[in-house]
Amino acid sequence: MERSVKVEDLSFSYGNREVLKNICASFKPGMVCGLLGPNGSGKTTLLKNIASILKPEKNAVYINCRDITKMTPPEIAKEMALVPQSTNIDFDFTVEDIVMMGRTPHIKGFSNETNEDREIVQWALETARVNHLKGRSIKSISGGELQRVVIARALAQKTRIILLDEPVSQLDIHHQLSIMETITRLSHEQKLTIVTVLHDLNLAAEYCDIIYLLKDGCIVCGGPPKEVLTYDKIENVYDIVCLVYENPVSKKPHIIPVSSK
Amino acid sequence: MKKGLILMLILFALSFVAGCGSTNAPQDINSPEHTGVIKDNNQQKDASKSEETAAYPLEVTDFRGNSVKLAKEPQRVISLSPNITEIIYALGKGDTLVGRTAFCDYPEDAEDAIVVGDFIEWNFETILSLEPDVVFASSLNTEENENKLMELGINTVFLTQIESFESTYEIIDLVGKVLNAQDRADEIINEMKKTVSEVQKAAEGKEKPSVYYVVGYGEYGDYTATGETFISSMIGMAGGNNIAADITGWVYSLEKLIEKDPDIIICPEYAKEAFLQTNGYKELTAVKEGRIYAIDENLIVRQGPRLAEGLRALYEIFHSESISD
Amino acid sequence: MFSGLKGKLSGVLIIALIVLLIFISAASLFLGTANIGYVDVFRILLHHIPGLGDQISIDGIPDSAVTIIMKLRLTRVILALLVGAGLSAVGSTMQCLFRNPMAEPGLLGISSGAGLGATIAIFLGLNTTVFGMGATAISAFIGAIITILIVYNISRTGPKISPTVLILAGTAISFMNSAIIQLLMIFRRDRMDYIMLWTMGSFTTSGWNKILILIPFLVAGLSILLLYARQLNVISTGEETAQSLGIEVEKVKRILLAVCSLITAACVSTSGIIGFVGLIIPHVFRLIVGPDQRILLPYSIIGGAAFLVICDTLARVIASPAEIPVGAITAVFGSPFFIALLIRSKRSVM
Repeated sequence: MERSVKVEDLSFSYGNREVLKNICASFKPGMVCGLLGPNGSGKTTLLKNIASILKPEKNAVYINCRDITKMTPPEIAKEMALVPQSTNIDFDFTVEDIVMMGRTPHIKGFSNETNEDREIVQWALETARVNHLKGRSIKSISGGELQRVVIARALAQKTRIILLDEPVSQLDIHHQLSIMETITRLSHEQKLTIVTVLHDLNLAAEYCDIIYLLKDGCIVCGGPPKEVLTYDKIENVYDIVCLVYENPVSKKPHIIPVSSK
Repeated sequence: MKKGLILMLILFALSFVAGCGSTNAPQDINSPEHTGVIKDNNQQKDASKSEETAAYPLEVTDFRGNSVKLAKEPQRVISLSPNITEIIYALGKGDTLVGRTAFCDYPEDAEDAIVVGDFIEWNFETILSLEPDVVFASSLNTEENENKLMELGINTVFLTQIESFESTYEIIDLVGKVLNAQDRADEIINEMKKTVSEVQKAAEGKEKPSVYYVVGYGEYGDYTATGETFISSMIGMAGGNNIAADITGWVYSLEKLIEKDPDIIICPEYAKEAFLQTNGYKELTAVKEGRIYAIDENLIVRQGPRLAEGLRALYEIFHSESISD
Repeated sequence: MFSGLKGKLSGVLIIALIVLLIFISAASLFLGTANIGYVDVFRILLHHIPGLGDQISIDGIPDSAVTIIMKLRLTRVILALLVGAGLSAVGSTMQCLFRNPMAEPGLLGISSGAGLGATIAIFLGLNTTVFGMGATAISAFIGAIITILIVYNISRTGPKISPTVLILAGTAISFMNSAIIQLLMIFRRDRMDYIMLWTMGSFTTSGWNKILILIPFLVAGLSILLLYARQLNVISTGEETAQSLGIEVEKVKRILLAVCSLITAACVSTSGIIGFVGLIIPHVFRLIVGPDQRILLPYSIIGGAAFLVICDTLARVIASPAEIPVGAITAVFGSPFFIALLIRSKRSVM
């Protein structure tokens, strides 16, 4: 069965301020989809609507053809994992504790974790390359390490859909690449649907299969990087002057910003 | 914490008055049970007069309307109020007193008895371990504490205090009855009545000075014995005019005090010096002209045998003359 | 610094703590103003165990000793134990729920509401008794429930509760309640000292009736808190995270708030406002066993019970025959211990 996310004519307002206007998009398995756009364009709001953290309208967000507003939180959590933009944990949990929390939707009622849960957690720790931190306190690790732990938690959720909100913005270049590689690998090998908000246009160009460009709550255009990340569209959406070349290694577009308009 | 401390200090200044039971809830006074109690007591008094000693087992009705049974003459007695301690000693039954409150300081002999608490906190374990035959409580405590005494099966006589000078007689009478000292109780009451009538006769026709009685002062607020208190009526009986007689609730104000400018100010001995030093009070005529008098407040706030002496002391202050016995 | 004891070690520790609790409770029964021999205490206790009672005679022990043990000391120990367990569990839960280290049972105005209720009863001189509970306790319970309902409704937008608004509303209502208490005290100055003593908390008037009323609240309440411990762990790492992990955050919050309010209201109305237990005990054990509610909550319950039994024993023994308000003891002995623990844990982090 195909696990896909479909957004049909979604609008969303914070009070009187309309943040999303008639959004239509679809995200398919085995593809990494990037949501790009300037600050305040509605990327995170769209992601939170899909994740059902914000309450979307009826008949606007579908997971596997089911209206998300008709699904219970545990049902949604079994289908979809979310890596939030920032994580702030005040309590002294260990890294392993936090990753184990990813198993929450799979643990029935008030019972405790099983051996299977522990194996999955181990796999997630290794996949996100945080196994060596396992016994450490979550408060004692660096921001980049924390980000990878949160990704491990999402992996431990074992969902077919993973939503990420700027997953690599706090990481160094090595970890940026390694996380993006892991995400694309999982998406392609296991046919996972990945939706990720990104800021770095070049990273998006490199790793995303599909990119949606947002501006003022509307999708300006969507498609493969080569079609979307063109000089005129970037200039229109971001209000900048830039140059677009072809990356000689990957043959993907490469953007060099020149100046703001 | 600081607020609490200040409140505690006010309380300390007031504890003598409040503790000595001048302040029961007003509804008690007119409640039908209560009038019943008084009548009942009188009947019993009449009955017991025909016999020289009270017959045990004895059953009395206390001020709360509870029936208290005594199998034999009480040999171990606990008093939970200073005025009752004084009464027990005046009745010649001081040797039966095994427990008292921290404030029971008169007569000195009473201090040999074990302290079982103060006005608000009772140590039930100490009370029980003293194995009292009877406990006298002036009904000032919380209903919870009072109920606890009953629940523990302790023979308790509640002497709810009433805001009248005469209620002192009833308290003495009931304690006398319970402790098999009815005759002595009658003697004390008669002596007191004699003193009272002497004072009232002497005060008759004399000009009435206006009087202010200091309970609390200064930064903790001005408190006095207001109209509803028996202390206020004592001031009247002694030929004085309590300037706070027109209000109730113990609270007064410095402004009003200055406006009424009393002829005489009475205050507890320990407070006189400090009162004179406190700003605001210096301007009062009574202070300027040296008509501020210290009095042993235990004589006028404890509803016990010395209350008549207190009345006489007030008269002597008001009219600058003594009454010879 | 410990980052959470796991498995066997925490099991051993909790058994040790239970043994310690039993030992402390027993020691508390032996201590008191009245001089009752250890053997007599044992005989009295065993005599009252159903089935065993007939074989143990209490002949020769004065009635007053039996009353002291059974109606005074035993009821006090049990009441202190229950209240300590309840307040500490509530504190632990609220700290997690609000992700706020200052959270404690009084946070949402519940204690001050109970205080106001009690003050009104004392002010009016109410004297009725229902189910063996005095008017003061009942009025305190009603005051607590009304207060939390007001606070809850202020902070609610639709089905959502904002923790920040909840805490602010609770604080504001607390101040208002305290102000009204003080006003009422001025008008009934003759009862001022009782109101003040009530607000300081005490187990002096403990009795089997209070215990019987408290037990259902605690058994049901603590079970629910324990059942939700795993969910609460997730909520303590962030509400949005918890929601994306499939937890119905608002529902769990409502349930836990209701349970916490009822436990607190029951504890406070039977024993007055006893501060500090709910704040400090969970922190102490969080430093020792880590933040996992599934482990922390049982520790907090047993630790809170033991701590309050110790404090109440001190309250009755230190200045005997006078009693020190137990709330003062919890603060005086709890704070230095807690500060020492904080300094130590700070050092080991650096």
